[in-house]
Amino acid sequence: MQKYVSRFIPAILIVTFTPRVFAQADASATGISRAFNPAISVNALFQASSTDRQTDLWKELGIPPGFHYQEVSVEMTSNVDVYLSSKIVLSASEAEGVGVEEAYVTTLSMPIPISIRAGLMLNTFGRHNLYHLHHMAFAETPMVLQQVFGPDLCEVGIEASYLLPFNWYSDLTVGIVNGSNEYLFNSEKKNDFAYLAHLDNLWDVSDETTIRCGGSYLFGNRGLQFGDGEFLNVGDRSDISSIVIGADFHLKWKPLSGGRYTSFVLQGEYVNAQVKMNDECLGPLHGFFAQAMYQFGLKWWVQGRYGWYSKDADLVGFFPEPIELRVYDSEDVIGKRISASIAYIPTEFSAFKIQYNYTDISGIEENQLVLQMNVTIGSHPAHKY
Amino acid sequence: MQSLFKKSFFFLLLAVSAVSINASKLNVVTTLPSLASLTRNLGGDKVEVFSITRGVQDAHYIEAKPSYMLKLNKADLLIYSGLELEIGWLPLLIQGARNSDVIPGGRGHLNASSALQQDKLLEKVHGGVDRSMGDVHPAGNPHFLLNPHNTVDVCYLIADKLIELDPGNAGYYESRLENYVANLETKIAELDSVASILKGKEVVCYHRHWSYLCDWLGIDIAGYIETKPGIPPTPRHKMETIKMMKRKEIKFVIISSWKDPQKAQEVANAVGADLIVLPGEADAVPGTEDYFNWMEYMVNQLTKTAQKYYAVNTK
Repeated sequence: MQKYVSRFIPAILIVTFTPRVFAQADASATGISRAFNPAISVNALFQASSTDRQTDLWKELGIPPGFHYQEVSVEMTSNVDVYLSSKIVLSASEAEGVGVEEAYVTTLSMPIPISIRAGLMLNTFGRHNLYHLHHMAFAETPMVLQQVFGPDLCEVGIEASYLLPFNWYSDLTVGIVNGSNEYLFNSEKKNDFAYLAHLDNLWDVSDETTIRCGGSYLFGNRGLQFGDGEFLNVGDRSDISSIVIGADFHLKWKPLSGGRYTSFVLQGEYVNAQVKMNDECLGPLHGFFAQAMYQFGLKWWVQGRYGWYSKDADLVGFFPEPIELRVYDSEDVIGKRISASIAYIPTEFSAFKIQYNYTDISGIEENQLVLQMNVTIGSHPAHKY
Repeated sequence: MQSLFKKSFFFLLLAVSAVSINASKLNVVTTLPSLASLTRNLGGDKVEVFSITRGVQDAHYIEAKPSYMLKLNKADLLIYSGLELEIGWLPLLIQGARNSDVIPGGRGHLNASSALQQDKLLEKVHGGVDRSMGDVHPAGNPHFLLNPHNTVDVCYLIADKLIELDPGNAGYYESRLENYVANLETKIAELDSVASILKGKEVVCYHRHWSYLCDWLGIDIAGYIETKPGIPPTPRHKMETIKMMKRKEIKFVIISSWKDPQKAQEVANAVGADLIVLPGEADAVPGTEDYFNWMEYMVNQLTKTAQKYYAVNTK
């Protein structure tokens, strides 16, 4: 009898108090609180492209022809607790399938002016690498970054940023990441990490103009195998590492009065990657891009970009190559691309671009026209300066 | 070696003293020049105030410049409007500042809109909200400082926070608060009297910026030139607005100083109305750096135009 009473009383208590508990939690129809749901947004990028070449050459270097969706990504941001905030980006694209693009936490407050990010994230190398696809001014990543990093440098690891005690904004970031980028690292040794550092400086030239200069460094051991399963032909030598340095520049002018209607941005980066093999440096694979964006109305932008890279013949075989280019095994590969575009941006949540690309890689030329539509729904956090 | 140690110690002491002298003032960062003006008046020489936006800038569309992060990094107190006015840039600045005092929940984080009772907030969106409605602020119109009665509440909030952060000077802040609020109430009564000519008059505004000002002065807003908040007018909407203005014999159109006046001017010209460009924030035009002067300037601009059309009727 006592056994039944001991079961019955808790059951009565649950039945009596449970509805009240739900009612206190939230007044939603399901009785489940939604008050702490993260801010959720979806970005969708669609493209239509036409080219005068019908080969696979541009698969890894540009935009494939035809109609396609470039990327659909779901972004969720929220504070985890009083110590951490979190951002998770899931994306699906025709080129890379479905996956987790970013998933990391950032510290909310520390006793010293340090911010720590940990998880899977676009790593702080230069500025452009931190942009998601929908944030880019042009329809694709600059060639030199594609050549050095592949789609992007996005690694699991930890980064710490420290605001240096200067009169101007000077932010030093150091990080240790997994070293899994298949273009640069992909080392077989499980305890091989990659190490990065970035120094970001910004000066207010006036109330309307800022100049930003940064330098980046990335180092890590690399494996003998590419992501597609091919092995390097380097005999029994295996002491190989990748060293990448970068410099970035950003100038922005936005008048105090009428800044919604006109502004100007000049931005560029230089990247130099070398492979060190038994104390011998091979390479470089290096290049730059420079882009200018001018806003000439509330909704209108005109933009231009020039990109160039050169890959030393020593490095052919170390970085994935489009099939057609492998005929140049004994020569340096030199690529350049000129892009011009007009963007119509009705609101922060939609953008339409028309872009022309002229590409020349070691004498193989392409003319391409791209239309891009970019829409954002939901609560999307603001982009960084 | 010992001498070198002594010199180093001396310079360290000097540096610490210099920091202490600066630290004796509260370092306050505000998002708006009007909030900066109020804080300067309430804090006197005990505060050092920096406003992120300038009067000529539209606070909805500020760039999150890292140099502002540096300002926030050194701030004891951040005062912002709230109601999502700064949602497009302030969270980035707070995150980049790496200052635990100014993060939400920190002791130096102050949302000015929290001073107001819910019934004082205008244009709260009830029911569903989505972006097809334009740039709406679901929790209410954030330009509440355009009604000085609301500003009185905000003054109490700011003074309370200054006292909390700097209790040693509580008497100083209390005394300044008392004086400032008394002056503000006198100014309100004075402006109420000047603006009596505006009561019950109808206007058309370009954007939903002037709701609190019109509510205070008893002006009726008959319509907006923007199709939806933040969305420039379509030709059809412009024509409908012109027809409505003609029918109602509306004599003036109000626009913020940071908006492109072209479309509002076209509407005003079509009706033969006056376009009144008002400073959307303190310090938007010379002589309006102080909150009092800003209010006074706007009331004078409006009454000057109203007298052109309505002076005979009020005699």
